Amino acid sequence: MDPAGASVANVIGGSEGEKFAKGNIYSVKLITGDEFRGIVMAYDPIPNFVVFEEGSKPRPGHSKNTRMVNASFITGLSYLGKTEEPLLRDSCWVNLDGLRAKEALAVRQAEADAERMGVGVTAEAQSIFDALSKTLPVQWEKSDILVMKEVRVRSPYLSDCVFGGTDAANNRVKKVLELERRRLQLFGT
Amino acid sequence: MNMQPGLPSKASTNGSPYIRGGEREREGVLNKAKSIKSHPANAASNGEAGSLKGDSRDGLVYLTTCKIGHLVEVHLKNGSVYSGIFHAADVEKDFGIILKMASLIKDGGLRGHKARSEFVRKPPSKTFIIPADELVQVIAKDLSISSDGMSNAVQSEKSGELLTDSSISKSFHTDQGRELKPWIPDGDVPQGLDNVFDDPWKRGRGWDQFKVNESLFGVKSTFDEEIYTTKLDRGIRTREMEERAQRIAREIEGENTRDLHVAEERGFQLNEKFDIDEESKYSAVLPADAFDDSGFDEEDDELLDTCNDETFGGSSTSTVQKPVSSSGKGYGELRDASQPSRNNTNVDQMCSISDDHAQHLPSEQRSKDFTAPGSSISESQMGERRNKNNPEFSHSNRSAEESVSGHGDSKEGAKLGGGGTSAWKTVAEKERQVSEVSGKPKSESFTGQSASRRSSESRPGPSTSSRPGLSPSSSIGSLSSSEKSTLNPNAKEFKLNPNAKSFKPTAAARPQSPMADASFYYPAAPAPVQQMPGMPLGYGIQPQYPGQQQMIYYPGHQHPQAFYPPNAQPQFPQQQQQMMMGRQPRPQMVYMPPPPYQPDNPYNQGRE
Repeated sequence: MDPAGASVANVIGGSEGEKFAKGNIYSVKLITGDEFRGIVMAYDPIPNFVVFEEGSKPRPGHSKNTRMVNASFITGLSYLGKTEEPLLRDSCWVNLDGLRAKEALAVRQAEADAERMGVGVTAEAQSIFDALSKTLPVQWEKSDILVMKEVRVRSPYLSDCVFGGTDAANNRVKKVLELERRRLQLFGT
Repeated sequence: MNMQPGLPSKASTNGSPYIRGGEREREGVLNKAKSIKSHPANAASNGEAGSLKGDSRDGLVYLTTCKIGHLVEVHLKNGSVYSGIFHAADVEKDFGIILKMASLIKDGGLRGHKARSEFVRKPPSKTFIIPADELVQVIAKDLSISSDGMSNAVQSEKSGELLTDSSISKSFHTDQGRELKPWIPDGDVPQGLDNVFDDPWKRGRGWDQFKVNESLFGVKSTFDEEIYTTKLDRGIRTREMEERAQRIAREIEGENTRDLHVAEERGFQLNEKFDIDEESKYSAVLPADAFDDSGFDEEDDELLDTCNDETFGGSSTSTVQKPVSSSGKGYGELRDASQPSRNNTNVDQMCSISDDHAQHLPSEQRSKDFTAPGSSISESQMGERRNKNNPEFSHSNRSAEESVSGHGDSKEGAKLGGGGTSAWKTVAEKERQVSEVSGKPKSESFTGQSASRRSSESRPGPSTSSRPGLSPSSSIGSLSSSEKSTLNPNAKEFKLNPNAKSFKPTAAARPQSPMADASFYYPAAPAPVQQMPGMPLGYGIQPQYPGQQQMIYYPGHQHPQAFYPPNAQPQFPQQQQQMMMGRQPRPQMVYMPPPPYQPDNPYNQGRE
């Protein structure tokens, strides 16, 4: 199959009608190996993109799991049936401001989350950071975890890697670190 | 190609629409969405219907637009998966997309599986462009696609403002929902653990905690079940009684009821409109006219009729569904036996009906009541009146206190406004007339203060006697008609105090030890004053009250607030005057007159 090209391996059943007609239910296989079932919501042959609603039956309501698929990468397609339910009404309009606000909010949240992510740290380090952040104010400083802006936990984030801060703070961080490590081991993350 | 610094290396071949700048490019996309209808549909190559084409593209554009701001997962040709916020798509051309704050979730480039701990995170890319020929799919979960643009905005507002507790406390960073594996017991687990607690009373087999405790720890148990529960009389007639009890229980539980809680317990769907939330179901205080009274009349009539029929089997065949096996006593007992079941069946029904009675005008009730009492009184059985009234008592905590009325004539019971009051009346009647009273635990359902008291008065140990007959009445005890309507039969008699000052509650706390502290007032002249137990002993004393002179007499004065409300200090002289004046006309007081501090004493209220 030619990824850059347009030919799709079709297995068209009897009364499918047009390919990717709205309401058709397909079982789709992609070149990434992903497989799913979906109902066609929209399709345009020019860019060759299909939007599916995931599932074999339309989900009631206005909230759907959608997949926008580049039809060029569909390796397997089998027609399962058709549903008459209208998935999308004809005259739709969008609230641009709302969407922009939504995006701005999402970006802000993502940025905040990004702050919490250490750069170039292992996942184990990150989970330790996350565990500590539940009860202590922590931030990343390169690959060190800075707790309460005073106590520093260096790699590999063991109890003896805790430096700085007052005795009390230091001990507290050590203790929390130990417990969190134990908990992480117990739950096998 | 003109690329902004900081963009990841995936430059798109058709880069110009993207790179012009996020806003403008996005505008282009969005404007497209706005003018969906005007989009030219020009690809006629595969002979598809023109309308379809136009629609499809529109649909695609619309759905793409809906994704803006949504967290999506993008799968690439090389197997990598990115997660980011959908920012834009090139709808004019090939639908390449742009993500914001995209981070790699799965690296398609990896061969083999790296240990998780070694996987190094990279910071998310602020803007990430994916050309269409690498884009396999874009997954957007829970995408809102209503045709009405309003909900988009509403959703984003909502998500911005409303933070539920669970969302606040939810930690996205720590492990959520780890893989759960079912527990498989080791070999040495005792089999049949599932049944261990099934029948705790079966001492023969199963689990006897006391034995185990004794064997394990040498603890000797002094447990006697009968301390905690009523000993059942298991005599000759045990089986019949058990059967009857079962039947009664079943009937009761199968009854219809109008009470929300009882209905829920029994599994009846009481409310046709299911928009009753938990608060109104379980915690809100019901207003007086809580019940929907629309269908009330008919139901009540039916109930009355059925009650009548069942109760007074003479007129119509007694609908004894289950044969009563007792043969010892005669018909009377048979009636008794069957009646209570029937009556108990209707207990709750009636109960709720009576509730409504209590709440609504008795006018309705009276007419209905009158149908019953005539016949009920003539019969020496538990009338439906009694039914109605008995259970009603259990429910009407509010009317419990007012429920007792001192009417002597049972006929008048019907006239009483508020079903509660009539309840007691006719109950009393029935009680007297009924020869036997069942000792069923129904008595416990009546928690009213008077009920328990009465039952204890009249029926010593009703619970232990296994008398067939009218069960609910047992709790009521013998409400004799002679009993007056006092709520608290043990209270002291009320004696009117003509000179009592009206109670004015003040914000001041009551004295810490109001009455007892009267003893603090030890005057110099003890003897004549001491006869009055409740009096402040200093009451009859000459005006020596101004505190500054009397330190020796009033040790209590050291904590003046014990006796006087803080704001009473300035009033002291005038109170003293009152005391003086009041003294003469009231030489003998049984009760504490309102001495200076007393009127402000909320404690005093109960006495008058």
